[in-house]
Amino acid sequence: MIKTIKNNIPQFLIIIFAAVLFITTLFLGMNTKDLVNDLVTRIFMNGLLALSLLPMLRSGAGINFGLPIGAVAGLIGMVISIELGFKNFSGFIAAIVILIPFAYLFGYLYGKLLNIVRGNEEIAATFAGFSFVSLMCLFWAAAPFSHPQMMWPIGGKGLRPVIGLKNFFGRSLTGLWNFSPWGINIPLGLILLFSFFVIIFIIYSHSRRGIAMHAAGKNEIFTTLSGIDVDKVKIESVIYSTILAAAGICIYAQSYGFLELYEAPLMMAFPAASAILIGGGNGTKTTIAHVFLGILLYQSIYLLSTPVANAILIPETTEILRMIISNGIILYALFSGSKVKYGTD
Amino acid sequence: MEQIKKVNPVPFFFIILSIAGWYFSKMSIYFIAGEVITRLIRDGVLVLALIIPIAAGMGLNFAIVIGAIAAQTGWLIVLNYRIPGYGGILAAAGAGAVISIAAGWLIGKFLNRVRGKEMISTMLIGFLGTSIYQLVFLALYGTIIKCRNPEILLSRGIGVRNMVDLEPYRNTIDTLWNINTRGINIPVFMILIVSLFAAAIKYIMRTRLGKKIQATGNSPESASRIGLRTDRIRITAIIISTVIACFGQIIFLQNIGMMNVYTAHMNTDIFSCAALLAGGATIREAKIRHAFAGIILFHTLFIVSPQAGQNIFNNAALGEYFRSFIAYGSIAFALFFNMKREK
Amino acid sequence: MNPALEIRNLSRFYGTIPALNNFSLNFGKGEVVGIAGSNGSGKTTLLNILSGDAGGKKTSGISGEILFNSKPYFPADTSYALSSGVGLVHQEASLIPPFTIAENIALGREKTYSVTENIFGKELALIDEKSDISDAQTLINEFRLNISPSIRSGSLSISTRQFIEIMRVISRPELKLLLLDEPTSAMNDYDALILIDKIRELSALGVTVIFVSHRLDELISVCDRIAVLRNGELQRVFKRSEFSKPGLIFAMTGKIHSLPVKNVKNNFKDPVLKFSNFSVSMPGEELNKIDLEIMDGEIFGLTGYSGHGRLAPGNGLAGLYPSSGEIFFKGKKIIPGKIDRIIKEGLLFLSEERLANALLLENSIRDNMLFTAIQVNKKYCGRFGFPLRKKCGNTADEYIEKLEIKCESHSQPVNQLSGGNQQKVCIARMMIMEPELLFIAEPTRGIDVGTKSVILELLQKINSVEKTTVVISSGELDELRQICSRIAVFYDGEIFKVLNADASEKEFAYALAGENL
Repeated sequence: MIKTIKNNIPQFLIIIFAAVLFITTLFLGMNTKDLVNDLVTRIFMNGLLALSLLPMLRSGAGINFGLPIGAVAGLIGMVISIELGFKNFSGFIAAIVILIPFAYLFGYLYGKLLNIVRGNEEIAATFAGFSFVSLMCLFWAAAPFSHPQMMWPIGGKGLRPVIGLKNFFGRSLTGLWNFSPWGINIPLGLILLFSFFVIIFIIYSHSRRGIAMHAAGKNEIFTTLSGIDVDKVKIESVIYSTILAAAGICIYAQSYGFLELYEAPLMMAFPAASAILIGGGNGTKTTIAHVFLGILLYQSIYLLSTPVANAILIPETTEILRMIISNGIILYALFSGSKVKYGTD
Repeated sequence: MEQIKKVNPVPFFFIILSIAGWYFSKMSIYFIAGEVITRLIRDGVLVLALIIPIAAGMGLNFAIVIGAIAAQTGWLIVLNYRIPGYGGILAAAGAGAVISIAAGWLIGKFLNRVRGKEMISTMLIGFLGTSIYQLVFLALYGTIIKCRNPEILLSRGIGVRNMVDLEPYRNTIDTLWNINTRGINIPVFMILIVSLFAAAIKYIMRTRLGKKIQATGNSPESASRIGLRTDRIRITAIIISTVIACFGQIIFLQNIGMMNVYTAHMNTDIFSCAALLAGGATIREAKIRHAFAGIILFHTLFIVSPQAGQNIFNNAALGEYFRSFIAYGSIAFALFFNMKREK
Repeated sequence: MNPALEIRNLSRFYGTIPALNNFSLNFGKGEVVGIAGSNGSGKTTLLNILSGDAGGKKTSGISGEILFNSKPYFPADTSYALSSGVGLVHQEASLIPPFTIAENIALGREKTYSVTENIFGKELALIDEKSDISDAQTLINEFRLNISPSIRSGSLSISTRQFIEIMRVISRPELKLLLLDEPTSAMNDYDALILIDKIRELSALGVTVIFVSHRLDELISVCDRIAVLRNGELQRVFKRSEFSKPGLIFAMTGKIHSLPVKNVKNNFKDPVLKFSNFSVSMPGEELNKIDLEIMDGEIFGLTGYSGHGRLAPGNGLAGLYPSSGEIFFKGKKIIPGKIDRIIKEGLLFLSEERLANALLLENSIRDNMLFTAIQVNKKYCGRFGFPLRKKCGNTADEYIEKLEIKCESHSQPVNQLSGGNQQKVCIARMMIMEPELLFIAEPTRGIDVGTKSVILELLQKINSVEKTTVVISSGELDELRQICSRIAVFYDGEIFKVLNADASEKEFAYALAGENL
């Protein structure tokens, strides 16, 4: 037990911090039921985005700072779904189906790019993501779309930056098959879909290809010497991650109720990355358990920090505090992941 | 093995785009020239700050934003204690420099630990530093830090205002020596200051320290084997860079005359890096001329894009998004291009 | 007269393995002492400790005393060593390619304009380039070279770069101890003579020189004494009057103990693996245009001192390092690095870096054993590409029994096994594939003595029962002589000789040292 604590000090500090925040909310007399409801919804709303990092982590491609690329594919899927007039749950399904070829293509190209920068993926992926998002801004602004509820009014050009989903597939999944035992709302549809992706991942990692992917992350030379094309395997993992990210943003958007275009996806990789890292995941050894724990902790702190900061400090500081924790976690992971020191001091 | 010097296509790309953009924007060349000169002064030193870390093999130093933050902190201190005139500028620069040295030292130590991942680290450090800075002045000013100048205090009593006035300092050194021709204002004194920084960097590279920095950047293992303390050299490089960035931001702010306390430093790193790369620098090599050429090219494009977008596509927004894309895209291109070469 | 350098009981252990063991020797001022021995013998370790590369006494595993000019000396870094007057010329010149010759020579101690030095201090004083250039020219002239000091170093030949490295080290006026690590390895004879002259000059000026080389002729010509290291220990110190090549060779190689050598019949007819004009650029093990033919059904050994190339053919074949030339397997040309093709043809390679390249350390015995089979043959997979757990488990158990692997179960992670058992797991992985040719490097490295013979027997069985051709690269000559039919001896990146396993010890000893009988 002590050994587990010793190996995971950051996680325990975060758990203690979350506990402190929680106790503070009790003192402030906040409604625990509401908090738990929000937490459950937020976990499964954001869950897939965090999960999407897993294939690339396991194959050794590192933290997917290019997550925005997948997000854009998801946005395209949703926008086309709206344009084609799908509504409600079928609109959601249509979005998911449409995004797949885009996510596949983007993932493939992105994967090829990453192979060029092997070993130094993070910064290159970040800027690949930034460039692609801003390239897409041009696309959204020149949009060959025509649905009135998506476009700027008064004969304006291009898509709106924020598109309300109430009339489309907004909350179509979140509202699906809900039931409320003991006053806590359980969004069963949301949970089932998330679980579906988790199960698919677990099955895949037991397949021959999944084993090869994980081996490529653990030991590239060993894997190459067994005849596996590591370049190819890594590209596959990037495609997988990109598709999951695209689906993830669909789930997020329908739950949030708004579709955010233009520069919104720019920073999406960082919260997802810190969620996994908070859970103790780092590199190829990351498991689903790390993802679960991480999402739980991250969303807990996210939720709990608002009311507490409001009451104690100043409202604007919540966002800043979250950023500090978020970026601090990623920096810490980078710092502790590198143990080799060379040169003199 | 000597590499045949391949010509960097990036500056030509920018030249073509700038000329095309200027043509379509139908803007007056004198107007553009005036704007570019202003930007050269405002951003010149910031871009120069990137050169030494590149020479030290640490890539693009996105943490120059920390230097900018140090400068802003310096200004806030000066405003808090209401130090006027030239003294105020010097005090701000001095305070900023002290903070920059300390911060630079910490950043350098961190980067020594994450060799190979310097760029993503400096980017994240930039984010983190921004958040801490915002927190300090939003929540601690007026509480732990005593407010001695209610004018910069928010009405609720805690936190610095969003925008503070640097008018009292504006045009102190700016207007020291101006020449006006054909409607363009040429602030000669400021150009001299920026040139002074450029000369200083060139000088450093021709000292023993400069050689050590270049050796560390080019062949870290060899440098280490022949007795160079690469850890210390890298830390020194980052400290110098942060301090220069700090001075750059001091100049920038006194030129504008007012400061967006919480956002003035945003995107300094991205635009400075993009400008440097536009001038022909790479992740491994950057010279003074790259900095100046880059600022001219990059900012010309920046200025003409919205109008060009309006004139061609009837959509000014396209022009604005285009220049963001150019900024991010040139950095992305430089990263991939460089890493492919190194293979 | 006090010795300039006194070393007492200097040792460096990596865990329990000694790289240097109880080394004691005194060096006089101006004396030239040669160090002979193969790459595993400890000479590099000795130089690294003296030059500061190894870190100081606080580095784990280092113990002993060193007195330099009667003061305790244990440099924690290269910078300290340099300022103490110790300079090391590395085997591969550590130059900065874009710097000119003059800049490289002066690096760290450039001449500056004193005016700026007074204002800004030494580090930030303006460099007097002309001064540095003329200093460099002086040195270049002393070495009778014909180049301009303003050329960039990256474009120079290897031997010229070596000279510049030497110039940088000896241009320090405070130099008292010069360490030379195989300085002539890339030089032609003429250049080597110039270097030897320079060493004599320095020695006359009072600089102590430690000269490490595997070129015995050079050592004999310039040294006052020669110390021979073997397996980390000081074997013998030769005085000038005792210098002789056979004597040195004997001290370096020692007695090749072996059990009765294999009865060699050598009636193998068909070549199954052929290397033609094959070169590999593997750092530290360069291979230069070898031709080699291995016959079907034989056990063939590759040996030589480390660094002379014995590990290169396998690594080049596997594509781990760039290579040129041709390889033919069963008459068909194979492309190095296209491993899936190579494996499908029936050739398997087991790397010498067992822990780094041949195992997934945290995975179970079963996972490791069946990895290649699952990926390549898909034999153990079901219809949809899922490995059949039970079948895999049973096969793993079968091999655990066959090879007598000591473990708890097939689910035990391999990093809990001893070196010998880990090697058995690797070999099992190969055997499950039923290869036609098994190329195995350093099969008994890091394995306890008892298990070594088990592994060797295993390889013999694979050859005799499964009719698999076995190629082994190893530094353990006596092991090879037990099971191989023929052994190729590598020297200086080429195949010096191919001997029958039952050739005499003297033949092998000379071949290892690159000397003809």
